[in-house]
Amino acid sequence: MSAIFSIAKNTFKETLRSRIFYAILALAVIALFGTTIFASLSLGQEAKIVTDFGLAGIYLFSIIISIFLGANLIYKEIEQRTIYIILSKAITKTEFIVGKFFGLSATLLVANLIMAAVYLPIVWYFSGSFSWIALLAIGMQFLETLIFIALATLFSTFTSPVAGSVYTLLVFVIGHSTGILPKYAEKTSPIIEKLYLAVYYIFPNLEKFNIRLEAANGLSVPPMLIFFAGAYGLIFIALFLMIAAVALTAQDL
Amino acid sequence: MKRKIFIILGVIFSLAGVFVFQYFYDQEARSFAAKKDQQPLVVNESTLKDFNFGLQAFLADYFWLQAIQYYGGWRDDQNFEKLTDYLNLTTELDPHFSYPYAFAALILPNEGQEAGYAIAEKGVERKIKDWHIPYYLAMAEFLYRKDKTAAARYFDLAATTEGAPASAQYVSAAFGSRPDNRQTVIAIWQTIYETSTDEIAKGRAEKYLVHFEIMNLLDRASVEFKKRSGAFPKVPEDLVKANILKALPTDPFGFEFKFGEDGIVVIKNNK
Repeated sequence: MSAIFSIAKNTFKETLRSRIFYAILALAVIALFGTTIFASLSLGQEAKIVTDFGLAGIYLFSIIISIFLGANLIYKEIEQRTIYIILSKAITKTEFIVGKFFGLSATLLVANLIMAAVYLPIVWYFSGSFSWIALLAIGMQFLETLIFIALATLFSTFTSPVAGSVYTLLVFVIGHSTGILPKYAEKTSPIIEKLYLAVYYIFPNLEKFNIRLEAANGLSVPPMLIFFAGAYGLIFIALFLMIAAVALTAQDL
Repeated sequence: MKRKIFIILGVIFSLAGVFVFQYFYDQEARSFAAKKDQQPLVVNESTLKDFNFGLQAFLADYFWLQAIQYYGGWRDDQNFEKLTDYLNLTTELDPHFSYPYAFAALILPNEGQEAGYAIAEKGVERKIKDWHIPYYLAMAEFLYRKDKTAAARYFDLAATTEGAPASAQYVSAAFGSRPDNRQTVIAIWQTIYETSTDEIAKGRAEKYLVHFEIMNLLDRASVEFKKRSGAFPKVPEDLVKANILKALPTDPFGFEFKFGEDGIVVIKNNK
């Protein structure tokens, strides 16, 4: 456990030293303030515009940070051969993977807290009340980001950062489009329908973490949906980290 | 020396060239933009609903801002079909975003665009809790389609929508309350009462019928008052004092009445 904590702490410090992290974060904060300009053009819909644009900004910048930093996470250690030093200190490959994941997750948590600290007061100012649903939406987005970190960690164990980023982006695109599969499955033959449905159930459906529409309109979300989505996300994170550990163990390091 | 002159001439000709090409580019771009504005949107609603990468609310807002910018940049050759497309996209991507429905009812019928009714009716069907939608729709039905039945229904819906101001309730109760229009509106509510299978609509129609019947009664009593005293009553209480009415009837919506100088009953806007 202490090995995981040490790796996580070092990864956290290392990613916090990354210039790209600060560049993206600065851009995100500027963009969040920029939402107020769009709000002024919205014909009385300021609160909705800042809520939507702000959430979309936090979401996209979190995804970008997780993909950029995650794609290098393990690959760099292997390339620079620093992994040999770490693994020689009675740290298992699984502990190494989990520690790396938690380290980068902590960095993303800091980034999300900073962005939320800018975003929520802006929403409060325009809507006149604190938006708990917007805070919950940020939490759900963060959970989705953790899936991307786990996925990027997995790809980082066996492929280059560029390829890893492309694969993660593909999962992002597909993960938000699997909702159409049951719709189209009905129009196909029974075998293709089962295939579509199998893909639908197995592939991560990232729309489960999207409650931005509800946040924008001040609608409530059933707590059980949040619970199921949370459990769904945690299982995927665990699955990707397990595969990453297996992939790293299979390598002759 | 020759080289310097050559460079200076080169700079002057380059700047002139840039100026000329900038000018012609702008001319061409302007006509291209005007043509583009006339073309319908190529973005398909259902495609965008399926492939928006979790940015549905953001895209809805984007199209809403586009709609406002498009409408705000009003020109003689404005293509309202494009505005309709923007509003349709907005309401399809974020069905809970209420103002675009109301905006469609407020703007498009005035421009002769039937699509405005369809967009606003979509908001009513989706039970969006914004009284502006049925209120603007009622106005459009009354002013442009001259459909008093639909107008009465939508005014009533606006008045009963959560958050509707007292003024909307007043307009709904006063709609058609002048004697020259009252019989038409009574007939409208009578039809709704007799044909509606919806208990809520039936109940509302019944209330309106009682409301207008009270106004008819007060008008008749006002004429009787004039016959007896030579002047019209000022307040309904005068009718009780003159023993024309035993007691004042209670309006089902809680409105109070007064009399105009012509002796005709009107609703007091004091809610």
